[in-house]
Order: sequence, then structure tokens, then C-alpha cells
Amino acid sequence: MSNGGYRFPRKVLDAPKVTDAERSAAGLAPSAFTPKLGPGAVFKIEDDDVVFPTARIAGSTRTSHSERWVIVVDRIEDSRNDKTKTISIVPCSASCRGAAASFEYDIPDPTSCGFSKEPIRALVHLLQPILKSELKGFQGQLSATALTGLQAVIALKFGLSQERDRSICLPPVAPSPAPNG
Amino acid sequence: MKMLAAAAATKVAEWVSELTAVPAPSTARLTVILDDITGSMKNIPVEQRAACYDLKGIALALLGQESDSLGAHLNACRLDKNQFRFALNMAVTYRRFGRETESLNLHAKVLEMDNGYNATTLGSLAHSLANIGEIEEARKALDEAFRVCTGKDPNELRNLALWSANVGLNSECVELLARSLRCFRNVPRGTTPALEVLHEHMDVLATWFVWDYRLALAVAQVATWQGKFPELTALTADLPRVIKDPDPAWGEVFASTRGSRSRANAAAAEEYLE
Repeated sequence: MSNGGYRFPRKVLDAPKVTDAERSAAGLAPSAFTPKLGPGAVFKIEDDDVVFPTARIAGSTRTSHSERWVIVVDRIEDSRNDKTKTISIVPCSASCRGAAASFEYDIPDPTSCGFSKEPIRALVHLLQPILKSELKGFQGQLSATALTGLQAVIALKFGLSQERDRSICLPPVAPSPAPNG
Repeated sequence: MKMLAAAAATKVAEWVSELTAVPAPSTARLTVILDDITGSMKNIPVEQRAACYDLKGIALALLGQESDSLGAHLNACRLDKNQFRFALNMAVTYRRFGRETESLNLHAKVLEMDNGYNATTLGSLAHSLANIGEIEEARKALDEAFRVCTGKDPNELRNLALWSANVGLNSECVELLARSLRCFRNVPRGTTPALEVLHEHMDVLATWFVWDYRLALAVAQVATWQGKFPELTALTADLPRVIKDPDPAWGEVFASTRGSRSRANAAAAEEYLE
């Protein structure tokens, strides 16, 4: 006998069953992906589903790949909820060389996070929404260190944070305003 | 030869202890336990037989053997129809193999059984609901789990921490971990900020992080971001909540440490702004 105020959400079970094909047609991910969705989840998608705005510059080319690995950055509430059909991802590249820019992030120990290659660079400046139905295969999960590192670069990109060494660049005492004339 | 009731009970308690340990036993150890349970089944007194089938189901589930595991759970439930724990463990096994609908149906039944309406069932239900994307419903179930939680069982507190992380309630996860750790060491929770408590018990916490990575993610999120955007926090406080509950149950549960957590946040923000 139930002895609390909570009532089991029967409507959840009574809702009509939706096949993965129907979910896909509605822009949603297969139901098996839902428990995996959350910040730091690594997925494979079709490379063409990622927008590279620089490819639209006249004369530029884009090397096409069969697939693109991406990292989900939306919070659990939004990434698992069927009310939102889009999900924010950061595309990754395995062919970047040289030091990462402030809008990029090199994933530490990428093979332990599900990536098949290394090094892996997260292209934070290309953070973008895709349809959840465009997620093709779950590969793994970023470690806590890698995820917070990636989020720090995202915070930097959106102006929510600034580089530590920039915050002490003000003179110790504000100079007097320059005299007019 | 029949095993004595007391000896059988001791044996079952040993298996329970090993099979519910965090992290789970190795595959080799699981196989040994499974063989031990199967070998003892004929000699075990009737009153312990259902428990043996239940534990066999858990061991087989941990070994990834879906149909055998569910078969064993079903035997346990048939032998003792009134024991909510057997049904709940079967529901957890259904979830382990991605059979969320069966798991949810069984959770609904467990809630109606004697003593089945408790924090563990509600928390486990929240986990299943979150796995099918029903985050709002999951949080309602979790709020109720917080309300009925006794706060005296460290394993229950740790499991609630995991289920909180699975619905995105990272701060609650950290607080529950702190309570669980203190409970394990038989020390009162006190007013020490949760992250400091976690820091004091890193040896235990490390094994929990191995058990489920979501705990590590939640702790990292709180440790990295909590209090770092005080102005943003004030702004988002006015945004509509996912659950439109003017006085959520977890607020009551955590009221005792709310002041200390606010102070810890303020201190962290102050340090960040310096």
C-alpha cells in the first residue's frame, strides 16, 4: 500500500509507444541514447551535419570526412528532454597541429574518453546546435577534468570568464584624467 | 545435508555484502560467488531460497547475462511475493539491460508493496525516469525520495547522490555524498561545507568515482563552477524552474546546511574575484 503523497506518473507508461524511426523523423535521438546524453558525452555524427562557416568563403575548400566526432555540452535537463530537438555540440578534429588557440581545447588523454585517435582538439569556436536525430553513435564520456577544462574555454569564449593573467593588468591606482585642452 | 538456518543467514549476508559493494566485485570474484550460490541452493533452507535467487540474479546481471539474471529474479519474486526488495532488484536489472518500460512498471508495483514506498525505490524510479528523458517527473520522484530519506543509511545516501547527478542536481549530489561519507565514518554531518567533507574522505570517494563516473562529473562541476558566477546565479534564480514547486522538498532536507553552503559559495566567489 502506498503511504506517501507521491503518485507514480502513469501517463509516462500510458503514452503511445514511439519507435526509433518515428523519433528520428521527429528530430529526436534513438531512445537508447537518452541515458547517455549529458555534458561531455562523445558521439559520432555525419561530417556534413557540422557547419564550417569558413567553407563559405569564396575560394576556400573543405576536406570532407565520413564522420565527425563531437562533444555534447548541453546540461542533462536539456539534452535528455524531448521538448528540445536540438542539442549543442562542440566538433572535434584529429588533424589540428600546433598550439591550441584560446577558442580551442586539446582533450587530455582522449583515448580514455572514447576517441579512437589522438591528439584530439575540440573546436570551441564552432560550438553549434544540431538535431538530436543527427547523433549517430555513442563513443564515450569526457573525464571530469576534460569536461571542466572544455567548459572553462566555453566560458571564456562567451565572455563569462576571462584569462586570469588579464585581470591584473589595470594600474594599481587609477590615473588622473587627462586635462582638457 | 541441509544448512542450518543461522549458517545460511550468515552466508546470505556475506553474499549481500559482496554483491552490493562499491565498486562491484571483479568478474573472477563474481563467478566464484555465483558458483557458491548455485552450489548452496539445494542445501539452503526454504526461507533463504528466495534471497539466494535474488542474489543470483544480481550476480548474473553484473556478469551481463540478461535472461539468466531475469530468470533468477523472477524465481525470487515468485517464492516471496511480498518482499519489495526482490521486485526492486529485478526492476534495477531490467534497467541495467536498457528495458526501461519493464523497469518502470515494476517500480510502480514496488511502490504499492509493503515497505516499498521508500527513498531507495523512489530514487531508483527517478533514475529510470531520467533515462527515458522524463527529467521533470524524475525530479518529482527524487524530491519525494529526499523527503522520506532517513539519512541514516550511508549506502542509501550514496545511491541518492548518484541518482541526483543523473538528473542534473549536482549540488544535491555533493551534499548527499558529504552526508554519506560522514555517515560511513559515524561522524555527524556538522556544518562543514560539503566540498571540504569530500576532500577529507578522498580515499573512499576515489572508489565511488570508479563505481560511477557521474559522481566525479557532479563533484567536478560543483567544485569548478559553484559560486563562480554569483551575479548569474542571482539572475537565474528568477527564471522558471523545471518543476514549478514553490517549496521543493529538498529545500527542507538541506535547510540545516543551507547557511554554511551559502557562506562557502560567497567565500569561493570572493576568492575568485580577488
